[in-house]
Amino acid sequence: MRPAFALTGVGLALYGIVGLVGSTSQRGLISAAKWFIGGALVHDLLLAPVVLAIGVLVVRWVPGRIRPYVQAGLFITAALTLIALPFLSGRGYHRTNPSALPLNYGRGYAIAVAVVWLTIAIVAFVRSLRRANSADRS
Amino acid sequence: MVQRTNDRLTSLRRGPFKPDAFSSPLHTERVAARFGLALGVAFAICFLTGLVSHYMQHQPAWLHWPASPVWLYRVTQGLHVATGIASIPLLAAKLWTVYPRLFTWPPARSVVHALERGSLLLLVGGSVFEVSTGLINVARFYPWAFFFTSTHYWVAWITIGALVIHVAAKATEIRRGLSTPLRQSGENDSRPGSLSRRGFIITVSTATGAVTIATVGQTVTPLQDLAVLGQRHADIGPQRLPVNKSAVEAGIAADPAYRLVIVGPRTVSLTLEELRAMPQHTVRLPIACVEGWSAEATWSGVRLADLLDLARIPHDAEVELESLQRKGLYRKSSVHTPQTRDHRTLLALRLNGEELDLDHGFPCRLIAPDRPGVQQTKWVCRVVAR
Repeated sequence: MRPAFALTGVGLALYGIVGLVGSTSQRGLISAAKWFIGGALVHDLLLAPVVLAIGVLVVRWVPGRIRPYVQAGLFITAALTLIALPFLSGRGYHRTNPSALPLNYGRGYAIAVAVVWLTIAIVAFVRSLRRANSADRS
Repeated sequence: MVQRTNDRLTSLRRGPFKPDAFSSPLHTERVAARFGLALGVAFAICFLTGLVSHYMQHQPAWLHWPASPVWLYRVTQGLHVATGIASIPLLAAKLWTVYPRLFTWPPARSVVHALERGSLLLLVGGSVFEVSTGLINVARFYPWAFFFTSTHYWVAWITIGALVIHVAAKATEIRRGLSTPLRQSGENDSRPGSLSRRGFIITVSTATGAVTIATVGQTVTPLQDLAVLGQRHADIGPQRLPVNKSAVEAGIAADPAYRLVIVGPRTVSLTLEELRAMPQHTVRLPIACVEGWSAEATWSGVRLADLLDLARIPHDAEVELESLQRKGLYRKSSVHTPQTRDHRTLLALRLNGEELDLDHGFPCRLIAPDRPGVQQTKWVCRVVAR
């Protein structure tokens, strides 16, 4: 069962590779290979180590009481940043078609990040109140 | 001898390869299996809706795409882009969770193990390729030398293939990971003072929700004012409707000598005045772009069926529409049954109560139910029976 499943996967991937090579110019293939291998390398050798380093700094510097909230806030901010980057770059905007990318993305991104941290601060505050209450009672 | 080789190999085991290099209890099979499941579902939706979109753009003879419900393509393509964007935080979390496995020791135990690890390059490379090129394409720039549409399509097959291999190779671990509670009794599931496993999963779910809320309003119109990172706003554009390609970008200027020519058993040539004199119909239909935005509008104009009748084009014929656009991959589009004869398929002359703006395809454009926006051909000048 499992070998058959794995072979199906091999077949699907081969179908993709053959189709890609058959439909793309040499220049296109080189560019696609850069994005394909580059994506994995940028993640494994750059993004992941940077995230781990930030994680170490957070553990060292942020007090344990608020650390989980800071970790959560950083992850959500990072996700929003990844999504926002292509829009923040402004590269896709053309004056001849103003209804494409019509928003002020810097402002939108700042609002989104502010809402995230504000929400986290409220959650942290409410939970600390509750904890204090239950500690009083016991 | 064997002992000495082993010693030498062990001495290579440094840095991240050391057994205790990654100490966070979040790097665990249980967390990985849960993110993997969510990501697997998202990729499956993305793949299937992507296939729909691919075939809609190059519609083969065997595909009979319905005209109703009129929102079907709007939903499948909106879902495609939304699940793609939602995959980004999930993929980041999944890769972070299993990152220590990159430094597995020894790097390969057997040929099969080496092949299985090699397939991970296809899976990681393909996944990062698909979500990053998809997102950047939606943001309308193209920093690559390949043709996005076909490359994104073929790499999807590679990625799904690698995903199937991965699921087959990890079936035991996935089952065990999913069936084990995140925290078992007497076990510590976090570093003191740090995010717990449950907290991590809540965080990633929240991030997935946050990126979705920040973008999905580009197709779910009631949420449009929350979509601070949406690429369109359904009300912003000439005549309160966004434009995908403007007249300037397409190299179009209004032409007083305009004629619409319908080529059939009896070829007909109509001026704009003659088109306006024909029976006019009004429909409410969405434009649903392949880039994942969509917006509804009120269109008025001539039924395509009436024009085909004028030229005595048979009911089952497929027709091709040509634009005044000189260049561009999408200057022509084919209309298939049932859309050709559907009473809602118009060559629209008016939009939201005004004469069609040049950017929306003046003098006339196709608007048909349940079709990708790129095939709602603008500046139509010829209709040819095939």
